[in-house]
Amino acid sequence: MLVLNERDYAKYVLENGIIEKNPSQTISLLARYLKKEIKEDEQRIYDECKANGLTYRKKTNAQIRPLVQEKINNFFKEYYPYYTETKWKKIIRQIVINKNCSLRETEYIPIYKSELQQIDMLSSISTQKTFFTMLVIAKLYNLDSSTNNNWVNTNIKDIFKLANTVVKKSNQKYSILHELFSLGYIHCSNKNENLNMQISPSIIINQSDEEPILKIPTLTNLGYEYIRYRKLGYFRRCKKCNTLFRTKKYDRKSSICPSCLAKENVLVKINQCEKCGKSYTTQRKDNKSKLCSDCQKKHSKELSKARNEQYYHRIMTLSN
Amino acid sequence: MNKSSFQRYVFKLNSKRILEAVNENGRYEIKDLDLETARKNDELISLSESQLMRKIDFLNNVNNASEQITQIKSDTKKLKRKKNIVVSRPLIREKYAQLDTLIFKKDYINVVIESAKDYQILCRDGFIVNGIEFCRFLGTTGGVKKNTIVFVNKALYPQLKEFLDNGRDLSKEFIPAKLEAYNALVCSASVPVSLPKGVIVISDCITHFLDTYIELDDNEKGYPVENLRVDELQELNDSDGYGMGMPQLLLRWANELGEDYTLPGCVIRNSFCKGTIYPVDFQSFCVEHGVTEIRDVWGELHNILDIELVLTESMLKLWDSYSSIHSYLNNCEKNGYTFAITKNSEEKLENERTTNYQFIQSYDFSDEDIDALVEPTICDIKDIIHQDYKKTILYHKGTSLKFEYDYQLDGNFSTALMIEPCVLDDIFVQKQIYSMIKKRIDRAKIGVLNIPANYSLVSGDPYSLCQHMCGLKVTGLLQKHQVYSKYWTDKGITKIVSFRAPMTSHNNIRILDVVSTPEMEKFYFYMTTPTIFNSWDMCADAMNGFDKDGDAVINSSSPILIDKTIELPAIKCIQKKAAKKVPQETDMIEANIKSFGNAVGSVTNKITGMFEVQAGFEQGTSEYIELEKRIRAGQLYQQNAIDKTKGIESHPMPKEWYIASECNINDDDTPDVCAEKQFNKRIVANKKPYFMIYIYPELKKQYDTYVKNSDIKCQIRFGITLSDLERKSKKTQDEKVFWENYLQRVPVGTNPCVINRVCWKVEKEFDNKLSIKNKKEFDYSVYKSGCNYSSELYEEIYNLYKEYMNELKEYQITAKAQRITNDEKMMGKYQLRYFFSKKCYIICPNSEMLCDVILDICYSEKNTNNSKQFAWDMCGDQIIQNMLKKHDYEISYPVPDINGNIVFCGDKYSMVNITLKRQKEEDEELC
Repeated sequence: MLVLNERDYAKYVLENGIIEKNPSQTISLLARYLKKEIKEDEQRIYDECKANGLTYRKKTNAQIRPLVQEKINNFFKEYYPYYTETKWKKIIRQIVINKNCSLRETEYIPIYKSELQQIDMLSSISTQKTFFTMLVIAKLYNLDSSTNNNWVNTNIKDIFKLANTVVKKSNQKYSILHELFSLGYIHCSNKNENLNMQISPSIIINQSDEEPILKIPTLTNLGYEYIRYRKLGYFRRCKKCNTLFRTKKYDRKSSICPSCLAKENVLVKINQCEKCGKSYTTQRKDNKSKLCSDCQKKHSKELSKARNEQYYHRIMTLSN
Repeated sequence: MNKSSFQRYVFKLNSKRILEAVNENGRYEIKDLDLETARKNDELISLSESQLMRKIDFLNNVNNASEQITQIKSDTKKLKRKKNIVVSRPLIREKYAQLDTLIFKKDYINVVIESAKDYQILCRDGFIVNGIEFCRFLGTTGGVKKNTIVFVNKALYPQLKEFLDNGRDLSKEFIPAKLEAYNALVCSASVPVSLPKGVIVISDCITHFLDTYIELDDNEKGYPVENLRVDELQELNDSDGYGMGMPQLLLRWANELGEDYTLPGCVIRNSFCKGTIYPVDFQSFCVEHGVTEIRDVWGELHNILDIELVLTESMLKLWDSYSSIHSYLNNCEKNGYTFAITKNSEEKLENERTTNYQFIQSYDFSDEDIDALVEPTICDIKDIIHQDYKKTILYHKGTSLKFEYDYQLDGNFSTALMIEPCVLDDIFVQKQIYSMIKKRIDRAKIGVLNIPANYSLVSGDPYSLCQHMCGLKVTGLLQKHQVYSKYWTDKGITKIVSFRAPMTSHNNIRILDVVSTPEMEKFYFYMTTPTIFNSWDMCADAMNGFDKDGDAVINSSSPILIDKTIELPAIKCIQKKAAKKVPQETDMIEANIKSFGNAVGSVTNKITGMFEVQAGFEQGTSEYIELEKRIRAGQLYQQNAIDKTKGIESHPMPKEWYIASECNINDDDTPDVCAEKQFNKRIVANKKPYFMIYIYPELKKQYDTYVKNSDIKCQIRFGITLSDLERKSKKTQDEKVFWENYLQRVPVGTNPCVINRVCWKVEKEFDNKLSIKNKKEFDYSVYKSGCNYSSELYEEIYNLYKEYMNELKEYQITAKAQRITNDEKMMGKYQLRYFFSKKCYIICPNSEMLCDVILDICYSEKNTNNSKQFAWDMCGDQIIQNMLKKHDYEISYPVPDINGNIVFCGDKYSMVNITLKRQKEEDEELC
């Protein structure tokens, strides 16, 4: 998942219990976020103490790591179905050790006039959308690392998905990329099996004084961003997730994108467990449940046990 | 063995996990670890019964655990027939709880050690699990290779240590690693048998003869030094690891195991005792030769007529730690040791076995030879690929189904086919057949080919041993290069080719003359299945140093293999010895640490890689000859890898043989060094051969990704696919460079070595030709019992179904990621099935009702996408039961018949119908 502001996204993930298809990505994000948060807190306390003439010893990385691991572990325990702590602990520990605390906190990706002019020169709208997407991704990675040199380290499938480019056969994707390669818009790596591509330095502008024509605020539906700029369709920005989504020409009502709408319909309200007092999530229309899942399980078990025992005693008494 | 030993569950914990769990007192403690949690965490394994397990049972006052388990299982079976589930539910729950208590060994834990430091901490401080304190006990031979050590309940440790030492002389010196291996014999899976009437330990039968061989040693730099020794005097311990039992003893033991024939050979265990026992009437031999008394290894005389079992000193490893046989046997009795059998030879040998790539990789086969070698396997697969249910039964169940088979029907699809062929329309059955064929094809690709062959236990010449025992001149009945094998003699075959894994070079293959004389037939009368080797050649050295303590060889009469085998001198590696001492606990720990990991497999793989590289050079070139030398030296490095685990300083394989970067030229290299490095680079075996993609899933993934990505790259760069580029006659400069790079960087070796050619042949024959064709609707009511049930029950089982599928999916991912062995995979799946079936039966104790609920969950129209695996895993037996009931217990299956109309693997079969009367009676009884 590509996000511009990882801090905000990490908060959103923690609040809503979102776990990516590949849970390691979520662990990585949370590890960086939590490490940074703890370090910032430590720094704040340190500064306050210093201001008050007190001494305070900041926590070391070795002390911070177990705290982060614990928090991630608790998060997964709560939100990941069939989570087995022992199996995941090792993976979490490894990721927490390996990750630093750098978070991407960018507001938007700027696209300049000359870049758009170069894109406009391409033959088809699919090629334009694809290259536009690659350009945005390369700029994002350039922001992350000064040594990125305009490389697009995202797999082809994801590029086309982000570009909202639909092709009937997969080799059409490669035809589009072949066109870009032939025109010198992209370069390939020297290794045959490495599919990373580099945007030509003559096209990309990483720093400029001029005002960008487009400011891309999210890294979803990048193809729509380009079509919108070309005024080839009707789009609206989702109030919830900031993503562009297609609307009809005269549709003035839609303010939420279809995926947020779907989530909202299924989504959940927060109740408080009558037994343990813990807050738990339930479906919006569920007015019956009063216990959290753990307490409900225990309660059902107790009921069933009591019932069974009752029958058992009755049968035993009869048989005696 | 019919009398099966029960599986016991034990915890298998990771050292890091233990060290992370520190309690309030600063001790390592894991609390509240129950069986279910342990299973979910992959911390539960099953082990077979061993002497150690039985001792722990004894110390816990658990008597006849196996009988109790059988009783509980039988009671549970009865409870599952009760209609009133409300009554049976608490009872079945109780039975399962009793069963869990019996099968779970709380006092025994396997710990997987992540680092030597972890191990030392755990040995020093111990740890607590569920309130029981554990301390190090021993490391088994197989366990230490996987960094696993046995820890036992500290409270039982003194008794167990006494049991382990079994009254031996504690002041004797040993190589610690060897003593640990002898100690670990108590952990071998075994079934106890009765004490023989009279046991004697005799000295080993050593023979001397002249033979030619290649002597291999490594120099100071670790490079191999080869010397051809022509007609040099050789010494052979012909009785290394085997002894003799009177035929009546082997028959008695067979009966105790539930068999009705005299065992042709069996592998036994006792305290510090390991080896094979073959049935030989040594009493008659002695009488015939006028010998009445035999001197044992301690110098004591015994009347031969009072002896039923003859052990050799190589079997009773610590014989010199006891003063006499009486002292040994008394200690065994005192500590509760009995003779126990770990493996016994079958009554009859198979007619067909499969090769593995090690056996055939060193041959120089023409394309025609490969076609002929692969043909029977291809024919075998083609027979089942067309979905003839009769052939599917033959393939899945084997070609020798017997009437006695009726009593133990497995709850699987091929049994269902034997009852009702229409189940072939079930998509699950089709998928099972598809997966079965696919697995067979993949195995064929790695050189698992059908050949006329069988595995048999190895024996020395017992005639020589008898002569030695009686103090006569040792001549034996067999001469140099001769073997006795009743199976091959009966078939009229006089020449066989013999292999033994692990093997590396062609020198490890032996051509043997099968001989038989009336005297041999009389003397070896009871040894119907073992292969008896003569006492006068270097076969044991040639076949990677086999001994006779349970080693097996595969013998084949395949004409191609016999014709193409070249008789080469045996390779003998110079053995180095480690220092002996009186081992203390710290020595044992150190020995364990040195033994962690197993490099033998990796050495073998490197040699296989060399065969592939060699196939790229013409015979007679310097590269070809050097590679041949390196392949021969492989045996030395295998030996070195084994020696390393014994604490012996030894050299690993030179890195420039298998790491390309080691052959890179440095600026300060002299011209000679440069030339040598260039030569080495040409023959470096740095890639696994192509066929290994079917052994290592991650290598296949790597190869497939490489080819796919290169194809994409080719399309992006040149606008054509990789295959178009390959075909293109006039390539541009860029295209040429790209293509050359592609060939150079391919992650596997693609030279035409034997197994790669076999692999390509099988690929050509079957790839893209296998598919599932499901056209017909399937009525799953044939499986059902016809019970009614409540919707609550359905919901509860449905939740279990979801949980099961999720766990199965997770397990498969973990199994793939951790590259666990097939046995471990089977064990994991078995555990999953056992625990979920327990959960199912606790919710719904009536098996018929449960079967219907599960079938509706998996097969009903609204759940068409649900996995059917759950149904067969949870209630496969009940499905078969229901089908049998509907068909009045009638089944049909193919049997060999020369006039039959079913042709399978070149033989003819016809279908027979039988009624399973015993099953019917038992069912009626239970109802």
